[in-house]
Amino acid sequence: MPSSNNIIIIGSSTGGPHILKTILEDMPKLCAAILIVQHIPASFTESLCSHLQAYTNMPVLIAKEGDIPQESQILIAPTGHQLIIKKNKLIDLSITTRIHSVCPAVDCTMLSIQENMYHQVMGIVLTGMGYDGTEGIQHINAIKGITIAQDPKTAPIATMPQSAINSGAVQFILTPEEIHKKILMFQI
Amino acid sequence: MKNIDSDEYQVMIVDDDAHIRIAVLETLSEENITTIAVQNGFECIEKLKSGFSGVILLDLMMPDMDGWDTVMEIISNDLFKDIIIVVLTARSVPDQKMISVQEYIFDYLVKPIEPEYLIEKVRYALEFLYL
Repeated sequence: MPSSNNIIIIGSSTGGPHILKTILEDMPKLCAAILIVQHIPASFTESLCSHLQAYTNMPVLIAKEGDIPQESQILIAPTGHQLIIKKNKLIDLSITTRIHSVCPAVDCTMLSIQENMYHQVMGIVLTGMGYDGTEGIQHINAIKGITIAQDPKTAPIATMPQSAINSGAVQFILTPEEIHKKILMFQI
Repeated sequence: MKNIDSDEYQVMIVDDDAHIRIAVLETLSEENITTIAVQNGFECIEKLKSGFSGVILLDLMMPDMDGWDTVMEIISNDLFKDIIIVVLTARSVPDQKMISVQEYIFDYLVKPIEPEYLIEKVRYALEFLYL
């Protein structure tokens, strides 16, 4: 399978699994890979994977060292590892330190994407506490990617998307249903 | 090792406010979701040590051992097994110390709790836990 030319990075925390389900439910095949960075205990990473798989035909997998994100593939960052995309598009999980009190951190993954690495980059910040994802969204905006924050009114915890919005780097503030529709721009 | 009593329950409401405990018990029992009520974090920990597994609806603002203390106690005693924690709070903006344990908080419910919303959140958490 070829590596994907487009990448979507979704950052999510408290209240996230329910929102992710809404966004990914019945999602058709895409000419993009989706990376999910969800703050969740290690014991639940596989449950999240199985849970999301029940709602989409796209394969949902836990990212492994050396993986290359592929089209129509959903990869979940494993708890305890920062998910970095290297210049050659290989996944690097070697960093295990916490950032913003979390591992994986949304910022780490988003900040690892470099300009011209992908044809199109989409960054999405969903529900959660704190401000993880804000720097990442600023970065994706700076490299001419598409930036989205969940409408805080629809988020169980609004501080994470609100922080991204306050940075001025968010182009679209959308409900989970609207985020689903926005991702369909990558439909094959 | 789970004991028989704990096996009977799917949900534990942990709140020092009796009105909240009763409201949650009534709402969930009408949905045939078996629920046990305890008044504080100490009792919650005891139930976990007795083998409770399921969804914990945890109030944040409690005397002596608050919600954060309870989560820390759960983690430090290696009791975070087969449970999902949903926090109940009157404040929609979490404080800094809750951010430090955010990965252990599956979801938030802001008081006053709408029964329909409570049922939806609990059903979803149970589905996730027992998938």
